[in-house]
This record gives sequence, structure tokens and C-alpha cells, in this order.
Amino acid sequence: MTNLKKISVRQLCFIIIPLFSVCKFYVLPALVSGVSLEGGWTAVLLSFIFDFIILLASIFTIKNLEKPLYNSSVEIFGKTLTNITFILYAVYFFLKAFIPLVEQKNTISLTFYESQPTLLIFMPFFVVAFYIVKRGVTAFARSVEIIIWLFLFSMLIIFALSVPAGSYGALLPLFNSPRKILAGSYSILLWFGDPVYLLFLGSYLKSKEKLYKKTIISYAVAAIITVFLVAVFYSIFSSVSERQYYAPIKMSKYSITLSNIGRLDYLGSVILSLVSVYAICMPLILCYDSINNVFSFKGDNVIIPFLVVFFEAVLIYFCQNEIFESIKFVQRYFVPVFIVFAYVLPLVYAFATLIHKRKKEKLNV
Amino acid sequence: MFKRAKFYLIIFAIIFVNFLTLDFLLIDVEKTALIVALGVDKVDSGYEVTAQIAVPEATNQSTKSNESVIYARGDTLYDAVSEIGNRTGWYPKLSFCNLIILGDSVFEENVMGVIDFFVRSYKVEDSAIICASEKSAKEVLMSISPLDNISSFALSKIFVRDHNNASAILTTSIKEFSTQYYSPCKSGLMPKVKMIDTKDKGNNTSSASSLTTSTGANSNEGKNTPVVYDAETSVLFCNGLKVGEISGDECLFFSLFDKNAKDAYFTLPVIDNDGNGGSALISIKKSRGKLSLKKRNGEFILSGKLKLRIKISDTDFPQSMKEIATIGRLNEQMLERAKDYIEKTLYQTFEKSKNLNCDIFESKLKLYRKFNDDFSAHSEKLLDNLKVEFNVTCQNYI
Repeated sequence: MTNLKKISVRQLCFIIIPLFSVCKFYVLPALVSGVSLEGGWTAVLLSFIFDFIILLASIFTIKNLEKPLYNSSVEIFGKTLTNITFILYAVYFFLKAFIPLVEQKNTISLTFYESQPTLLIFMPFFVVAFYIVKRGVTAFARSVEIIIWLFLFSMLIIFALSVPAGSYGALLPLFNSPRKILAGSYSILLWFGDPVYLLFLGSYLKSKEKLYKKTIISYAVAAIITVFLVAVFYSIFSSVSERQYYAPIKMSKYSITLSNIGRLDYLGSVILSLVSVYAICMPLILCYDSINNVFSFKGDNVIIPFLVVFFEAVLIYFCQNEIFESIKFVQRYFVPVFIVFAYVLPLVYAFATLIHKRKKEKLNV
Repeated sequence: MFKRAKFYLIIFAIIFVNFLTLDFLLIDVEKTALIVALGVDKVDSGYEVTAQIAVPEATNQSTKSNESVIYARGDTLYDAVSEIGNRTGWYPKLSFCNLIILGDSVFEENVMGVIDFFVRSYKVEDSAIICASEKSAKEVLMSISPLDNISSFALSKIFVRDHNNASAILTTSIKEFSTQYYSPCKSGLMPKVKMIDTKDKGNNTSSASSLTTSTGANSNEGKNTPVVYDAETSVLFCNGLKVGEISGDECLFFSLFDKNAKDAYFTLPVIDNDGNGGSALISIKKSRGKLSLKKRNGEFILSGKLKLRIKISDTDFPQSMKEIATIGRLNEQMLERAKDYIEKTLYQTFEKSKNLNCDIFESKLKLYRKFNDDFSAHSEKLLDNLKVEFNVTCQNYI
């Protein structure tokens, strides 16, 4: 685990802005609107606030660890417990990629194709994903420096076409039913919990200067874009929003401009799909990274990235026609597991780091 | 190194073979029927769908757009649309379908039984314009228009022209109609298309051609006299059922609360300089409208405010050079008359919709959004107890 320190804080911020938001654009707006109605954007904001606590805990852990996460974890918890935790995290990251992957597959096949295409059309994704996973975190962080601009360009197109089409009175009454907002926030839990990625990416940071400030600002940008998108989405669809899956493609088509210049909105949607490829690969890279930490493979490993992507493809193959049943299944059985890995363990790491740090300080004194 | 190259080669080969053999299951555009408009009529055993199809042809000899009108029947709409594909061998591509025409027979039952299909299906864009037809939808799609080869394109022009401008044509999309239906108002409206016969110099001024008319349809049916279309009347719906209609000026003044007018016209009965009755065509050059629900002394009041900048565009009586030179200025009396006329028309529209229990002014939705605590107690009887105040201010444009 030497020579890890290859990504900058700027690159970390560029990971946060597009990749913490893009996966929340497709099914989530319709899902949360179905539960929280006009309070959907509030439910999303609430979920971001919960995640913000984990973001702070993760940054605290990164900032105070002198060694990479795995090595520090071995030092604090011992090798056996660390290995078990990392293996479980690998499984968690593997499953975390499942929902955005299913969403993306359905978005492409239902919106860009007239007939229902086979999984074959989605196969190039797995080839690209394999390559991205194999190249690892450093190459990923470098390519995200390009992805961020594509993301901002696609958002510009989508918002420019959709914002004028909204009727913003539909967002009233504000904070109508706290119970509905909480229920909405719970229903979209699977799309959140991204700050745990930072805990693992922190091991690769070259410098930790202004880490708090920069990551918090980036996180706020990601949150604002997502909350704004959900608000615009509800203002366009209001009472029929529950049915409007794949929001970026749906919401930007009502602009009168399109009747003159054609479906320009597809440009934004296609670029956003490209950004989504990276967002889906993020947990897959961390899955590979966690396995690599435990088994310390030597040299350039091809087998593990291949297996990670292959099993994801197998999973998608079996669930390809039952996207909502699959999501419901994951929601029913994996939410407690999800809470443990996305919320509880990062907090445990932060406390353990704090105690470890104090112990060290006492020893030094 | 060799092993890795072999691995990439295999992956590349799989993708390449797939691309060459199946095109990744992409549909060949030549085998595609681009459905540009759909007409829906209710028949005894389900629905009859008339599809107007633009057929893409690879040719460099003609720049004509070819169209054909095909109809099919099915128990459900989807069934009927699929039938078109089954009979022609085309893939009925609906993402270019920008116009849905509902025939008069559809309105005998809850219209949402038909519109639901378009909301549910990802095949049709819900931004497509929806309209009612005076006759059957099939007749509208079979008609010849001197304005365009494809009748639905000619019809679409009148809807798209004023889409961003307040006008007597209340263009409604599938999404807008279904949003209104599923809102607390449960009401909605859509423009009604009437065909108006025109006289042509020759019998064949339109280059429209019906290339293929399958399923036994008579190719000349409904295609005798060229027609133009009028949609200045709107049909009112309550709980999905057709309950009434509002006419041109009612539509125009109602739409001023929703959109700004840049160039809208209405005819005002006026008295000319000699004291005789006449008419003036008034142009609304600028408008600002606000419709809100207020609560005063426990009573709900629907308050509509309109600020209009208007000018005279034409009169049916001669005017002096001085009057013409003042670029259509209205005198105080005429401004007052215009204000009274618009207010009277708005009150009349409200009364009509209230009597039909049709909440086109969305007062229930406003109650839900602004006075949410009162919603459950007052929504049921809101229309009966609602007071209404329309306040129109008319000023000269220049």
C-alpha cells in the first residue's frame, strides 16, 4: 500500500460534484414525489443533511489518519476485524452499484430505443467499466477532471430547457407534512450514503490542505443541483410526477424551443448518461480497491476487476426486466445493512480515529 | 502482454460481430413508420385508431413528404397501435407523434380511459398536443388541407403558432391535461377542431397523396373538399367527462391569466362617431395577469387581475385621419367599454364553469396550495360558495 498518494483535493471535489448527484436524477425524483408530493425536494434536502454528518465524519477520519485507511484500521482494530470489514465493504460497494446500473440500463433501453433491446446493447458499458475499474482510483480521478465539464454542460442544457417550463406554485404548501417528508427521505435512502466513498478515497490524497472547506463546498454544490432538479421536476409534473421516471429525459422536452430546433434535450441526456458511467464505476472501483487491500495482489491485476464487473453483469441480467421489483427487494432487505455501512461504520471510524489520536497524544506527552 | 492483447481482441470481436449482424438491434429507418398523428375514435368493440404516417423514403428524385393514413381496431389503444405494426410490417414509431385527436365518440365516457394510455406508455411523448374533434378523428386525419401535404401538420401549425402567446386557441398537451385531471380540480380543457371547407381554383391544389391505405379504408373518404381548421372553441371536462364548451373570446381572456399576450385580437362592439353601432378589432399588445385565491372574513374570493395594453387595429366604420394617425389609440369611452366587455366575458366564463361544476380556474388547487388547512373542510363546496372578483385595467398601447 505504498505510493498511493496520487489524487489532489481538487480531483476529489470534482468527484463529489457530478458523481454524488447524477445517480439521484433518474428514478429518485419520481419515487420521492410519489411519497412526499410537493415536499419531495425537502425530503431530498433532508437526506443530504443526514449525509453531511457522514461527510464531516469521513473528512475528520481522513484528516487525522497518518496512514492509508486500511493500515490505520489494522493498527486500531487489528488485522482480522479490518479484513472482515473491508470484505463486507467490498460486497456493499458491489451492491451499491446495482441500483444506478439498473436505472441506467433502463434509461438507455426505454428512452433511446423504440423496441425493447436486449442486454447486448448495454454490453459496451461493462467493457468500459472493466477498463475503468482496472485502471484504479488515480486514473479515475484524472478522467473526472474532464467529466465535471461534461456534467456541467449537460446540466446547463437540461436546466435551460426545463426551468422555464415549471409552474413553481406546485411546490406549495411548503413543509406540508413532516411525516410525508420523513417517509420520502427514508424511501430514497438507497440513493444516498455517498460520503463513505471519501473514507476510502482519502487514502489516495496527496495533500489534505483546505480539505474541509473544499469538500464541503463541493458537497453543497452537488446537493443544490440535486434539490433544484427535484424541485423543477415537481413543478413541471406536479400531480403526475409519480409516473415520470428518468427525469432528465422527461423534464426538458417541454420547451417551445424544441419545436423549432428539434430534440436538443437528448444531447444533455446522452452526455449525462456518460457521466453516469463514471458514477456507477465509483463503487465498483472501491469494491476492487477493498479486495485489493485485503489480499494485497501484486502487480497489475486483471482477474479481480473482471470478476467484479462480470458478476455485476450477471446480476443485471437476472433483474433486467424487473427494475422496480429489484429496487423494492433491495429496499426491503438491505436498508438496515445499508445504514450500517453508509452511516454507522463511518461514525465508528471517526470515533476510533479520535480515541486513537488522543491516545497517541497522551503517549507523546 | 500477449494474453492481454488476446483478451482485448476477443472483447472487440464480440462487440464488432454484434454490431455487424444485429446493429445492436437498432431499427432500420427504412422499416420504420413515423407516426406523426394519432386519431382515436370509440367503436362498439373497443377503439379505432387512425394513424397518419410519414414514410421515410431514400430517394433523391423527390422532396415531397409522403403520407398515408391507416386505421386499425383493438380492444385497447395499445392493441390497435400494435395492429398497425402487425399489418404493415413497420415498426410503428410513436416518438414523432406530436398530435392526438380525440373523436366525438370518445367523449361519451371518461376521456381518461384513452389519455391514460399516453401517460402510461413511454412510446408516446406526453408533450404531444391533444385536441377534440367536432366529428370523428378519422375524418380530420383523412381531410385534405391546402396548407400542407400532411393534414396533421397543417393542424399542428395553428396550435404551435400561439403556444407561447395568449390566444383563443388553448393548446393543451397530454401532460397538461392529465396534470389537471389528477389535481384536486379534476377538471380540464382542450381545443376543439372544426373543419371549414375552402374553395380551390383546381381540384388538386394539394399535393397530398395517400400512398397506402390499408385495412380496407376508402382512400377518397373524407378527402373531397380541401379544408382549413378552426380551434377557437375549447371543450370543458369535469372528472374526465365532457360537460360543456367555451368560445373564442372566453378562451382568449381566460388564457390571459396563464400566458402573456403579445399579439391577440378580439372584436369590441363600439359606437362610431355618428352614434351608430359598429365594431372595432382590438389588439392586445401586452398583458399581465394574476389569478389568486384570497380569504376575507372567512369567505374565499377568487381574485383575477388583468392589466392590458391595447390598440385599435381596425374598425368597420370610417375614421378621421387624426384618429388613424394616432396609431390606434382608444378614447376613454372605448377603453371603459373594452374593460367592461372583458370583465363581463370573464364573469360569464366563470359562471358557466361553476354551473358545470368544472373548476377551470383551479380554485381548488389554489385552496390546497395556499390554504392547505382549510382544504379538507372547504374543497367540496368551494365552487358553490366562492366569490369572484375580476379587475381589468385597459390602457392605450402608445
